[in-house]
Amino acid sequence: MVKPLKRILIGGLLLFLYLPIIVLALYSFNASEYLGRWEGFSLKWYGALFSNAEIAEALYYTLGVALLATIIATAIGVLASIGLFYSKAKIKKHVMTANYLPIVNPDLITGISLMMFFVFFRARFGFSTMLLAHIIFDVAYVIVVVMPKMMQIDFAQVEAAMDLGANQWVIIGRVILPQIKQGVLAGALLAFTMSIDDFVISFFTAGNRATNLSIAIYSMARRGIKPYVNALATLMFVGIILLIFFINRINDSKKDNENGRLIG
Amino acid sequence: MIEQPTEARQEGLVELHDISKAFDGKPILKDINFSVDKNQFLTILGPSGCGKTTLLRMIGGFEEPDSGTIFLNGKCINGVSPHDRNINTVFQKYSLFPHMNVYDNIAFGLKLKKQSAKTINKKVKDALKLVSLSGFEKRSIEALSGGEQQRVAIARALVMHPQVLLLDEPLSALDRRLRLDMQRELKEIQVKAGITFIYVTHDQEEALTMSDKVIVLNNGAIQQIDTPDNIYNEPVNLFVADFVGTNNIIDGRFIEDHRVSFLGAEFECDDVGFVKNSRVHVIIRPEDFILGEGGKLSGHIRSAAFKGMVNELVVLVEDTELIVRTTTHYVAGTDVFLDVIPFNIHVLTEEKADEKV
Ligand SMILES: Nc1ncnc2c1ncn2[C@@H]1O[C@H](COP(=O)(O)OP(=O)(O)O)[C@@H](O)[C@H]1O
Ligand SMILES: [Mg+2]
Repeated sequence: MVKPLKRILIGGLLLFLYLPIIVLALYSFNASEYLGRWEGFSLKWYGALFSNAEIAEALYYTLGVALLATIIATAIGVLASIGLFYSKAKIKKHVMTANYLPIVNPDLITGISLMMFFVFFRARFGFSTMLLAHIIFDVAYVIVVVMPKMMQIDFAQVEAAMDLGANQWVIIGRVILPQIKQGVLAGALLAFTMSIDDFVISFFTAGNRATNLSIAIYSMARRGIKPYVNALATLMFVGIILLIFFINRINDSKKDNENGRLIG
Repeated sequence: MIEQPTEARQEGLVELHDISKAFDGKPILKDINFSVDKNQFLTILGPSGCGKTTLLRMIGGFEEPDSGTIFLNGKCINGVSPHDRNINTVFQKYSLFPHMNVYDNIAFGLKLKKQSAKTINKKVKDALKLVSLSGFEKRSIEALSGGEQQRVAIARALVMHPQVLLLDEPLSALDRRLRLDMQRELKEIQVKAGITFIYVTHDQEEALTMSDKVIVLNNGAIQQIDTPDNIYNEPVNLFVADFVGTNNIIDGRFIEDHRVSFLGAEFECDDVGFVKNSRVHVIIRPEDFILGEGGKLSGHIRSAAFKGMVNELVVLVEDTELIVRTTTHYVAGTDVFLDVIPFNIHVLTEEKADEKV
């Protein structure tokens, strides 16, 4: 008896969440230039999108920053997690708490404080400042995803490996990494998603020399929404949905994953 | 006495000299001295928290003693890393690598030694055969039962051909039936492999059935080092008497050599050398009472329970409850006489116990 009600509630919630995006996606195929009037199906805005130099450059910034930040943040995050694995329980706890700060802190605050940080050091705003900012918040996400996997490893395995003649590198390479590799992959994908998704922090740390997609959409939207913005947003949405889908696939493929889905 | 770490020794394969260890200022092990011979099955027996694991970890090289020396083959191995000790450990929770199959777990150490694939193959096969797991090579660790995981852990350590194998309560996670089987198997493996075992357990039955020599540990101090027989029959103090098996510990008085009184009667005994007329403890095993129509003690059967092959009775004599085991059938609520022959009376005082340790 409760079941239908539950279904209606969940359905309503999902509709509420996704309806705006569905409308946006629909209008990206609209032949008309005007919102709110449907003049038939067309791919012309997608065409306009791909021939737009401004957007091509923004895409380069978005993907470039996301890729580099992901690689660097994953490396740092995995090393930090291994360090935490070897640390005392108390240190582990404090660091994990501190690690949530960049995640729960409002992006606006993180963005402004990073901007002030870069101003203080007289950094040249652009690609590198934006990259650094992305690395900083991506590391937090990588650690959050990798640590639960890491904690499933019984530390006695490290001693057993040592007993059998393994040095620290062998232990990391053959005992620890193989057991956390799904966490590492999921963490990297999440970092990549967060990087592509980010607007606020990028906005404050990019300066006016660098423009990524979210900043580009924002400035276009201020000049009045052109339908190709809908096309761009639709593409980004689809891309991120696919990424999240993969992240959850990775986590589901591990049967004993009691932490459930990470996101999505 | 100052130890000479480099001095060559003729004695045991492993020797511990005056080992002490504290954690956060709290002494965990105090002045531990013992030696293990080649091919010996030594068991360290003691209640949980008495320092058994810490002691084993120091022999394995995972923990350093605060003072004292550990010798292997007469050479001091203090500060030597675990894999340079020619000692391997079977950990309490097995600690197998879950992302590797049985074969790769066992081959792990051999691969690190850079042995040829052929040698590794043969050694792994032999080890699997030794632990009766032939054909399990490709199995994943998660698909194994507790007993099988245990055997893989033993094979993984044995394949390294250590001189000494350390085992930390390896059977504690198994159910009783499997534990009894594994006790027998472990002993067989030890004899077949010709390796010295240092085995840690809190289970007195396990210690007594498998070992050549037992060390009883309590509160970080050795209580008794002896053969299982002597530990069982000649406990040197109340702790050992109480911990190793069910014993009746009765207050008594030592009248003179060969004479002791308890529960209102006088008995002949084999013990000598206690202070005349001093208070002593008398230890009598439950199966050593003679029940019948006559005897020095008269008691009332409080309860009778059938336990496998024997009846276990609780008999009230004066104000003392005695645990008595007999193969004859008795019912609760009846009266009975008890007697003990001199050989089965064991007299102890705390003082004498301390002397012997
Ligand atoms: N690394 C450690 N730090 C602090 N205390 C410890 C540590 N390891 C063991 N202990 C303490 O030492 C005592 C003996 O522990 P252990 O050797 O594990 O006993 P057992 O194996 O006999 O149960 C326990 O009180 C335990 O809490
Ligand atoms: Mg222990």
